[in-house]
Amino acid sequence: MTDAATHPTAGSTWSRIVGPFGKSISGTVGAILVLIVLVFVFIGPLVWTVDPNAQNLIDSFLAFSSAHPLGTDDQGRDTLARMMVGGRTSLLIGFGSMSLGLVLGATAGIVAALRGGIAETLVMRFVDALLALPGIVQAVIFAAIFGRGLGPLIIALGIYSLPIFARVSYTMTRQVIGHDYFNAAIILGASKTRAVFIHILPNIATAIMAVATLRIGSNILTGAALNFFGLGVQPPSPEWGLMIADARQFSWQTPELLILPGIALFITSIGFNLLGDGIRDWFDPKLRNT
Amino acid sequence: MTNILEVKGLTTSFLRSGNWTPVVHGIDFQVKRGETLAVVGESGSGKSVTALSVMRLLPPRTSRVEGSIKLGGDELLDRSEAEMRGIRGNRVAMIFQEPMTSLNPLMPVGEQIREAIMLHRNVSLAEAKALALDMLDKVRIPSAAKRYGEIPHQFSGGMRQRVMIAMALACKPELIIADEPTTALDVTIQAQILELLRDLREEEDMSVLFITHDMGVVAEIADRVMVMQNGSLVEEAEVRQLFRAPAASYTRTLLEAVPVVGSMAGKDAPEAFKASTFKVPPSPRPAHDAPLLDVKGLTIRFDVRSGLFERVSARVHAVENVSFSIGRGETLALVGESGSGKSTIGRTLVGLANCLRGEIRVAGEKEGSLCRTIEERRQRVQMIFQDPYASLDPRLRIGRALTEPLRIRGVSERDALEQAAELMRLVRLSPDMLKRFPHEFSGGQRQRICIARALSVKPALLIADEAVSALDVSIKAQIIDLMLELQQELDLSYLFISHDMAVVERLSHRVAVMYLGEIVEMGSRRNVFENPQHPYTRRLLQAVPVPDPERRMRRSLTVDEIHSPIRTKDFIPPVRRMITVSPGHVVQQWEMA
Repeated sequence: MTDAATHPTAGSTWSRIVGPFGKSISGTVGAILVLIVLVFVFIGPLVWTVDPNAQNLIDSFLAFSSAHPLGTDDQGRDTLARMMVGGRTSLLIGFGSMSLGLVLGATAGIVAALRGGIAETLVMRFVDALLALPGIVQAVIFAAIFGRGLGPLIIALGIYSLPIFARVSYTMTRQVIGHDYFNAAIILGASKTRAVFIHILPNIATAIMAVATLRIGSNILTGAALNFFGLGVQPPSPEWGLMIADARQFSWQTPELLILPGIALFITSIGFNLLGDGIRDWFDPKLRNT
Repeated sequence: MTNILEVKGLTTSFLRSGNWTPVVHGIDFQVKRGETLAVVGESGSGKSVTALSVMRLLPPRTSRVEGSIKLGGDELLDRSEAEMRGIRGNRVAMIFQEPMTSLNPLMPVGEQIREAIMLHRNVSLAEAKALALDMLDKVRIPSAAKRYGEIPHQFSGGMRQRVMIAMALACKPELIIADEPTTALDVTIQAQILELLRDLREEEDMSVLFITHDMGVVAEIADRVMVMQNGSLVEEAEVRQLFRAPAASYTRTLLEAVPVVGSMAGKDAPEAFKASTFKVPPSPRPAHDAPLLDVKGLTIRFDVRSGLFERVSARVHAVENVSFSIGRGETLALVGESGSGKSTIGRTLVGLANCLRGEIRVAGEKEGSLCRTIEERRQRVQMIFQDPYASLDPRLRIGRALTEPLRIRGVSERDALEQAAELMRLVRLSPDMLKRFPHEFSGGQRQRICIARALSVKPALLIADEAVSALDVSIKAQIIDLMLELQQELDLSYLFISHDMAVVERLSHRVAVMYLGEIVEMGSRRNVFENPQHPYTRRLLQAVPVPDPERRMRRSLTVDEIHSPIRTKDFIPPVRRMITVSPGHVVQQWEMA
């Protein structure tokens, strides 16, 4: 029987985490890119200790130099420092809204799958309705409802991410329920809650992780877009989307002010996307043996 | 006789983590004109890979086929993929296990056959249609002209397999490769398809490479047999020769492990395959008189909903007024074909399905009409399932899986682990294995673990739902022996749900035969097997392939189908009367046809 081929390889924890990524090139590249972004955003400000909000109009629009490696903006603020600190906000938006969407969505999906009946119909129809609206339109609507600022933006993006998590956890939970090990657990006296923590969550976690990673990337992008439109974080706090919005009017004189945060967004979102693909490949049994 | 297929030194390797791993090791065989060569072996023996290699159907990037495969003198391994497409379906055709996945679900079956003909033969549309219709007639599909335009899901499983055979025969191929063509079918339908294949072989003079794991089927259909194990040829012989005097020891073990209907004639008690393992031989009758489980008038129906408002449009009468009891230490076998409701009864007893009415009582429970499950019963009635791969959580170590039911009941971790080690010894596994994950075990070992898990709460009744059906013959025999031993040691009762008459004959004290949700005959195993009364019981017993080519018999070529238990909304089931044949042996009254 070819059971070893169709089930997750067990081994030491370390080899389980690192081993498969050697086989998934996109996953490896994604992981490296995400790591670079994390170091840039979290370690960077410890090394480059310039105040990102210190204005000095005499120094506005400076070119790249040793004092300002990436130049300065219209108000003479150091671009490198703003990129680093602004990235923290972007990542916070991506990660925070993903987590919110995951917790709400996964709970809704698992409950719908377990309870069935009217709860299932209500939750899943609501999710379908949300999925029918274009993403950016939804985000704009929720941002308008919850108001401006970082907190409301995260809540808006969180709700906007809810449907995908609900769908995935619903489908995966249904799959687990279809297996006889779930039936066996119920027959042996496990309560539904206990079965969720022991059988369902561990078995659906990997699929959700893949979606979550992809979602961080896309939420950072959507968040940047909302900030660009002025619906999220307010100036003067640095944020990549906001920096692009600010740089728009000077795009002819100093295109680098527009391009640099753009590149940062690009690297971050492609990094998380590739990492998400890698996680998916890693757990796809069909790809494991090739 | 000329050789249609000549295979020499066939070696098939697969690319696994960068290395070429051979799975078929240089085998030689021939198929002569008009001959059926059966390839038999357990899972992993390489029998299906051999067939796919001949068809050149393995993915070229991850597989390598070496040696020589000659079809009517032409070397197939030298052919390009384009040339192979002209050969497949034309000179070599294939019949697969699952007809539903091999047919296009959206295309009328007649059209699918016509298309196959026009792909390989230079005929006009009208001629091809006529030929396709001929083929449907040839495979004995009733009113073939009418069914030409129907799509696959309007056919039953057996009829679909007939369509597959018609399609395979359509271009008059030199060789037909049949890969487990009857494994997914019910036993009475399997008998029909085997009969059809035998008739067609004579009419069409066709050569067949027949792949199966079932020695009974081999005895029914083969002229010559090739036994495979781990990718090597173990033995090749004429069918009578092989069954009478198997040369290889592996063949002997394989044959010994096959349960044969009728082998228990004259015996009252269940019997293990290896009798020596018993401390005390099984008794013909359970020692206690009071029944452990008493089921009265159990009725289970499911609504079929359709349309925009999900209105009830029909009803599945899964179980209809069923009554039976099981004594302590006794095995009652529930036999029947698909749709008979046997599994539904098992699932209802453990609370996985709800019943409409009826009374279920386990000894020791308080009085009451207990159609619903109560927690108390959960502990006394446990279940093991068919697929040992799906019944263990892949992310839980075995130790955790075995201690979990105890932890729920408040047993401390240390005590639970001790009990788990004890359970492992009980099912003849080493307690050292508790740290492993399910995928590190074979199918048989997993089924042992499932039994251990069910026993963890010390049940009195174990429901085994097709628990050995998915296992290889030799493993099947071991698990049956284990179940018999456990019954002796723990005074367990079994409700053994199965479609396999031979296995049922081995291990049951009493048998209940189910058809369309009703028990049509029930009695001691000896009475039911040696003196079957109901026509359905007789048909079922007769349909079981006998693993002895000397006893090969012609059955009349019927096209009876298994009826569906789906009824209209207002259907009222008829009131049935049971006739007592002898003490403890009852049969449902039936209309003489």
